[in-house]
Amino acid sequence: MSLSVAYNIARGALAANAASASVVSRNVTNGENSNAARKTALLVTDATGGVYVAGVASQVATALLEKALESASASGQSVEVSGALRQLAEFIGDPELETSPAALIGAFRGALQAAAAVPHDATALQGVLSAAERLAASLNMASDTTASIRQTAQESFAQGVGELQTLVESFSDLNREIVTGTALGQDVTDQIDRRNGLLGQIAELVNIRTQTRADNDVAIFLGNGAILFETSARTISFDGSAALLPGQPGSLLRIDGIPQSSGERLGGKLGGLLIVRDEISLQVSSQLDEIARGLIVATRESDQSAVPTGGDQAGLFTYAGGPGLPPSGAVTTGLASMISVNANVRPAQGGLLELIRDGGISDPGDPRYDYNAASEPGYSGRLNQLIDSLTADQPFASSIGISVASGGVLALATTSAGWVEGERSSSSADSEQKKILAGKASSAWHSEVGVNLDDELTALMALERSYQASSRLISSVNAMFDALLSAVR
Amino acid sequence: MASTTISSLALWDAARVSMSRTQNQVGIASQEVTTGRHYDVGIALGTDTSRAIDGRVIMADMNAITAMNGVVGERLSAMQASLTGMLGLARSLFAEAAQAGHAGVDRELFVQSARSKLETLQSLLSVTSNGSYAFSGTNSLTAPVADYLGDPPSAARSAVIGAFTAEFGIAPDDPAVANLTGDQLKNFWGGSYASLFETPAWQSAFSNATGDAITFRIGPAEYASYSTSANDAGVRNLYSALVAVIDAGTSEMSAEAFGALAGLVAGAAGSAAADIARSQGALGETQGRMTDANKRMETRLLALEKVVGGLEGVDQVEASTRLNSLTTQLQISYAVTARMFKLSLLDYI
Repeated sequence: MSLSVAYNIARGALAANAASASVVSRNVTNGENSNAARKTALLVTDATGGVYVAGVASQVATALLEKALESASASGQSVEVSGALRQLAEFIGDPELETSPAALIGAFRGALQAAAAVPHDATALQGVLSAAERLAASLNMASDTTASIRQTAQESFAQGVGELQTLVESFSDLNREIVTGTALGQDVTDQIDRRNGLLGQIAELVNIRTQTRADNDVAIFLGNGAILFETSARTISFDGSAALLPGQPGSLLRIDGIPQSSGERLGGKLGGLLIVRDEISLQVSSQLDEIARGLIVATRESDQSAVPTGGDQAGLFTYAGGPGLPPSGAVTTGLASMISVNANVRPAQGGLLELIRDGGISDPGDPRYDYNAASEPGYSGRLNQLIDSLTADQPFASSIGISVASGGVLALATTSAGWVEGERSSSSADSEQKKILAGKASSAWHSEVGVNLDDELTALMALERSYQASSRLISSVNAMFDALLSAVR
Repeated sequence: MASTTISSLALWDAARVSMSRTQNQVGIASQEVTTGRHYDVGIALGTDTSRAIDGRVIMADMNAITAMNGVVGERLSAMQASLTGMLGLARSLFAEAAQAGHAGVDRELFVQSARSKLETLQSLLSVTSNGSYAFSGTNSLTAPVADYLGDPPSAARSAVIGAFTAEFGIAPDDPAVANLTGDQLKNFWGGSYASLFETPAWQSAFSNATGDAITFRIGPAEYASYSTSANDAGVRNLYSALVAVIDAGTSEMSAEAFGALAGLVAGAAGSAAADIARSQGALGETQGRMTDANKRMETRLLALEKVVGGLEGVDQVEASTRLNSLTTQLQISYAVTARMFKLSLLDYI
């Protein structure tokens, strides 16, 4: 071994040192980048014992990354669902404020009770009318809110699909760059960081699985196994132009033209939006529709003749299809948005308040439906009947997700409020938990692969020392050369 | 070199996340301490929200019933007072009629007293409550009886005089009335006169009251009813007794006939008193049921308030303890974070 070899090794060490220092400085710069993995310079010893930087490697924790992606999509989904439920539950409000349909049915019953004590009193009948109007308006509003939440979910879904398309396209470009770069032996670690960032963003939108293959090539699959990206991006489409039909699920995300799973299995923000659009809001609106039908049925009027010839008709509460009653056993879609107080009792529309007491609201001209034929001002029989019918048992459609054994429409409204709040409560707890889990998973991944500044500074100090040593080596070899040369001279 | 350290970002992020969570909880706890209720009742109760709503609906219902029991109760009390007045009238008429048969009693005074009693009876029957006539049954906006002695003569009076004339062929103020015997009068009393005070003649000539019974809700699942009205047997008997004194030719008839009439009037007044007392009893029973229902509802309201309060409320002591420990936690968290951020290798190299 010659002095010149020692000289060369020291020189190589300086070069390797500089390369390592540049990696350290890249790490320090990326300290605040949550997608960046820690990079290490790969030092290789050559045949002569010298050292050189063969490449740069990223810290990898595939299992933790998968976990982080999975929990990000679970969190995205539950955040959407709980957000929508918070909006949906607004019409129920705090029980103390008594704004829920159940509380308003109670208030309506209270007004009937007041009127039954003084049936001759127009003010009391006016009280019944306003309580009924408040109740109908609250059902209309709840139904409209539910419909608009659905519409918003539909629009957000379309927007989310757009985002997904853009993300998958960027992913495609980046992936190609990485595969080519890896094949050529280039440093692609920064691109991998960016690709991980894209994966995180995609996972927030839909539940994905990834598969890493040769040359750092990554394929993305949906939770149901459908391919989202494999060598090239698949065609992602969604027909958002079709209007949402009340009571019916909307169109789905399509990949290569094939409709994908709905809701839970799609996962992520998009899956959450589908759950909101096709499950929760449909369920809530069908419950509202049944409450509306229950009210119309509870306040129906029947033929009072000795030998009844006419069928039951919608009385105080009616709807666009009145005066016939809505069919029972099945949900009449949109009934909650159509329910209204019959114009025949509204003085402002030429109606008669007294019909609330006397009956015959469905058709004031038909004496068969008049409960108080003598028009006696002290008649309270019909009002008492209305009070009882609000809690009288009646059958409700089984498809609405809740059932009441007894207690009629009031019990249905109360149970429905409990159902919505129960869903909201569990989804809120769920979303809190998923958010924490997602935070933990992403922090676990980042802990494993991320940059520790202290570590880097220590590494920098070590590099400094080794630089000093190498320089000292060079100067020593130099001095030796000097001594040798002066001896020769 | 594989790193076994934690990344700086994860380290700092952990502190930030835990701080913002704690701050959130401090906000929730401080509201719970001040209001004594859950921060978000729906989230805290979940499906149990329906129980809270149900409890509040039942409470509102019972409050409405209690308020309306007050309104109806006021009407029933007014009716009781009127009935007490009528009972007094019936008793005093009974006493007067019992004495009237004896010689030396001023008949004119007796008739006069009957007239004033009739007027009192009419005003007692016309008692109103909350803008409606209490004794009119369901026809509550019409006075139960018209003024019998009014001018022009009321339908009732014409019917009585018509019946008298039809029976005897002479008007009650005809001097020939003196020829009528006590037996003739008794026949009239038990025949066409009596039918005037029976259905349907009573309803067409005297009374405007209609309906059988008025039913009202006195509890969440409890109805009570009363049927006291101007159509009660007591009122009819009292009317028939008083009207007989006024319009059956009292001033003209013979002493024998008058004695018979006075006996009949006393009998009618006596049974009127018994009937009125019975009406009072029936009404009193309804009032009693209402009072009982009110008491039951009061007890249930107290219990429900506790249930609803228990559902919606938080233990304020627990909440304030929680607030204290959360603020302490937050302070520690601040201190730790500040120290952690102060820690930098740069300060030592």
